[in-house]
Amino acid sequence: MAENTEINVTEEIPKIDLSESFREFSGKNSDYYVKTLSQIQSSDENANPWNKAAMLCGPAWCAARGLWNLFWLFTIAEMVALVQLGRGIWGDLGAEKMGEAAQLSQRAHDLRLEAGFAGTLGDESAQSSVEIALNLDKAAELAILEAQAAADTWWIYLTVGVVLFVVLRYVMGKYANRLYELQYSAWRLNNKIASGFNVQRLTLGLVLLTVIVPLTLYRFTVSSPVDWLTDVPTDGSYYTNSANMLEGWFDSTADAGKGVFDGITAGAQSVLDILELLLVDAPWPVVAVFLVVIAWRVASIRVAIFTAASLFYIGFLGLWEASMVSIVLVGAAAFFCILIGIPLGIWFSRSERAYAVARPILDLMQTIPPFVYLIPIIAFFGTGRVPGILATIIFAMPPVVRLTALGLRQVPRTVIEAAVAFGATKWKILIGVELPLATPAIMTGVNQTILMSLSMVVIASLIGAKGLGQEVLTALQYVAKGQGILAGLAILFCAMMLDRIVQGRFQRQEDQ
Amino acid sequence: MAETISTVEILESIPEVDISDSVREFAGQNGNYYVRQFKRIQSSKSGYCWTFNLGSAAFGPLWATARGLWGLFWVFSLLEMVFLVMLGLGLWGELGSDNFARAERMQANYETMIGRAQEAREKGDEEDVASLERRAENLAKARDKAIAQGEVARAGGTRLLVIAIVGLVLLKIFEGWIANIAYERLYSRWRGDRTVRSGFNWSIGLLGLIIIAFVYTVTLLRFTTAEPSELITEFPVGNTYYLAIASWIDYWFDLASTNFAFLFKGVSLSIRTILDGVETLLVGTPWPVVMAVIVIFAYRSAGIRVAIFTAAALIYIAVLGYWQKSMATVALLGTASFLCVVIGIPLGVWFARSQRAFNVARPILDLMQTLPSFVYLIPIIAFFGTGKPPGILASMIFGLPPIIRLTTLGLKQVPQDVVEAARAFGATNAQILRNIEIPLATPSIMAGVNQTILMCLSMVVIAALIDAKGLGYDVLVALQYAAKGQGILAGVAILFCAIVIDRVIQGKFKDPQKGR
Repeated sequence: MAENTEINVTEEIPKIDLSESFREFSGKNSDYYVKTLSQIQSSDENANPWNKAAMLCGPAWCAARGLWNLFWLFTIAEMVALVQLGRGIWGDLGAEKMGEAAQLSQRAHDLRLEAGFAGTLGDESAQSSVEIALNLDKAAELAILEAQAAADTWWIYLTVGVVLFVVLRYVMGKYANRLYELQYSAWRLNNKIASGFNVQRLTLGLVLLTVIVPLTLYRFTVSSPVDWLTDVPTDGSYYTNSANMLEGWFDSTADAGKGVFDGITAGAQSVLDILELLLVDAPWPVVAVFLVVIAWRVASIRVAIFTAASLFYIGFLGLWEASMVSIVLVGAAAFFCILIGIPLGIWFSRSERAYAVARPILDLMQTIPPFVYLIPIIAFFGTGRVPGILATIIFAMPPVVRLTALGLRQVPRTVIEAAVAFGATKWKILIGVELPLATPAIMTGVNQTILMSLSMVVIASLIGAKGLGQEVLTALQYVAKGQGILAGLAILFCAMMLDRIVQGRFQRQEDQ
Repeated sequence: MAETISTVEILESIPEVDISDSVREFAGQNGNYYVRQFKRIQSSKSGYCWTFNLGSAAFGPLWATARGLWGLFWVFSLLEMVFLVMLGLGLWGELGSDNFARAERMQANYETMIGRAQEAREKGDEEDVASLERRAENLAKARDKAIAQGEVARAGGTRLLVIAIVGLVLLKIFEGWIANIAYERLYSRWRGDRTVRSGFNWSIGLLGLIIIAFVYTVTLLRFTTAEPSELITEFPVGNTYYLAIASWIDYWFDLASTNFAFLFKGVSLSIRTILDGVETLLVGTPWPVVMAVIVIFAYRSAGIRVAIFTAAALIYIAVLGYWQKSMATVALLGTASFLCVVIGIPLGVWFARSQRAFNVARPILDLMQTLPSFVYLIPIIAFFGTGKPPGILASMIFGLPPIIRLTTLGLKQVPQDVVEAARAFGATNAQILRNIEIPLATPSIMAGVNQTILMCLSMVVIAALIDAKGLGYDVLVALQYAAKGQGILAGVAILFCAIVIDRVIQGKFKDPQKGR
């Protein structure tokens, strides 16, 4: 690019007078800031506007001027400097070594007593005890010397602290105005950004500093700070009492709701049993043929070849049964997700209120680490495959609900109008118009659900669901790298197989 | 509604369209039959009138494949399979065979017992005789019971046979009835979209035949014979290859971990250093300071309600004595997400620039997210041992993809004309990136940061498995000992950490323009 011409162009642009705007932005002390900000904006290299207020007041200036990021940065850095300074001035630098020395001489003293005792009894070991005590005495002296040496290094800490502090303040004074100019630029675009000199902000900053500085200084400069500062002073009985209370509550709820929980377990179990009969008990050649043909019919010949290769990998490594058990688990979980999720999605697309209530719950289901809800599931449903499926459902259901609701909301109003004009009932509109049009979104949701279910396979095996997850977990416990990786790849292949088949169906529909 | 009535009138006044030719074209063989049937189905109101397709009733799944109705094919063959297995069990299945086998074993035991009792009698050991005879008697009872059970099972064979035959007949009727209705549906789809397969296809029918012959034979063999060949029940390869390949992989891992020990140690050490800094900040700093800072931060970025919630959550954590553990967890999380952001954003920028690099990286990113997190804990343990740095590494693997992806996406979505305009003003590449592209991509990048943090959190908890300590460890221990109360308390502490972090970041991300 020809840069020369551009420079000419910029030079011809008439200067805009920003003084008023600078004045409005800076509030207090505006004359000074008008001068410095315009100096910075004219990018005069020689201009070096030194900000005395920033240098003197440091973080307090940042707070008052609303530069909060800078405030935190400098508070932490200055804290480090001040801690060094404090250690240099009043910190007991040799305290650790002194304690060591005291311990050593105490031990030597004990040994001597023992030796004296043994000596009166005429024991041979008395001599060696005395020798050890002598050595200990020497070590103690050494430690005392080291402690004194450490105590003598106070000036190093002091200098480091002072130098660091001065450098920080220097940096502050030098760059404060430039940073303030950046804030100004941001404010020009969006005048909600903090501007001016604000007493409220200053007070907040000062309060923060008065809390932070003394406490932190005390914590790090005193050799043994009071206990309540290092850890929260709390009574262990709160913990045990609430744990016991929860335990009792869980037990009584599990007892009271036994029928419900057993019913859910039985329902899930029956679906599992059917799938298990189909995939695990059925002879493997039949299952393999079934999966390959499905892949070919539903997706394409390439997916069929991929499926065949994955199945070969699984069978060849002797992971066939474990894989099928995992697929059954995923299949059952996905089945329930779809069975529950799609109607919920339809409901949420109809009722704005219901969706408003449900959205935070869905968010939560996806935010919580799965570990957290394993515990209540165990409490109510015990261990085994069914609880594993329940945990998987909690984790994997949100996408299908969300995407069903989304897909239905995106159906064009005009199409529905047309259907109404033809006299379609609500039911017919849903079945014949809305659901087919929302299919791509719903299928995306189903796909995500399947993939998320597979990622839960290992976690589910923590609570007793068998399958490939069990293999990975065992490998993890014994650091059997090879076995773990092979089993992990088998999980991956299962996931990709299911994913490709479902996606293939969806893509085909797209193509048409 | 009044609409329905008027619609019916309108529909009735529409002149009938003759579909004969189209149906003939669709059906191929036997076209005239389908023209008649489809007309009947289409003129019936519900669409479920009584028709009977002999071809389908006779050949079931085969008819379905030949006509391209794969869904029906699976349903038919599965149901037929079930009834055929019942039929096979009834006809030649050795029902009760395991009972009879048990009875035989007991008979043998019974005889030996009697023999031993005889011996004891000859020796004159009366006590032994009594106990042995008692045992023999018990065995005889058990034998009789097993035989009785076997008889019942064998008698059940005829019942099974009857059920199977009745079921098959009903199934055939169902097959004959549903065939034309399903075929008419396919025809309607074909009318809208000519790529839907039509006509009668011999080669596909043949394929169906082969599949069915194979599947039926193998399944019948598996379920109706008492001891099916192992070839069918289990994949004929044991775990020899599994173990051999696994030990081969082990070998390479060990080799790599000894040869590159310095590298792994260096990585561990640098992560450790960062973590130590963060831990001093969070765990070392007096708790009132940390608490105040967190609450104020929540207030400034997300408002008073989130601040109150944050304060309550922190009090919960503190009162239950989880303070240090929570802060250790947050320190792990903070280090992991910090490293993710530091590594992820430059990578994202690079991938946005170079399509080639992105093409190479995409499958890797997919793999990182699809592979269950536990799987890559294993090589990490192999190379880095257990403890906190490996836990952070595992979290990074899990948390990196979103930030890379969303940075790339955000940069790619920056309008070209804005970049052009900047270039026209003479901005350098670096200036364009820093002042134009990244600010415009900020919402997307921030969404990535949010996702990364949440993914790191769920992984940090799991990392307790490899000794990364923190709150996850408490949950893990509770899981092992089924200590529900303690597990829930720790779980809720994790939950609070997650919600607070999520709210604060979202608050900041929702309006980054808000006054700070």
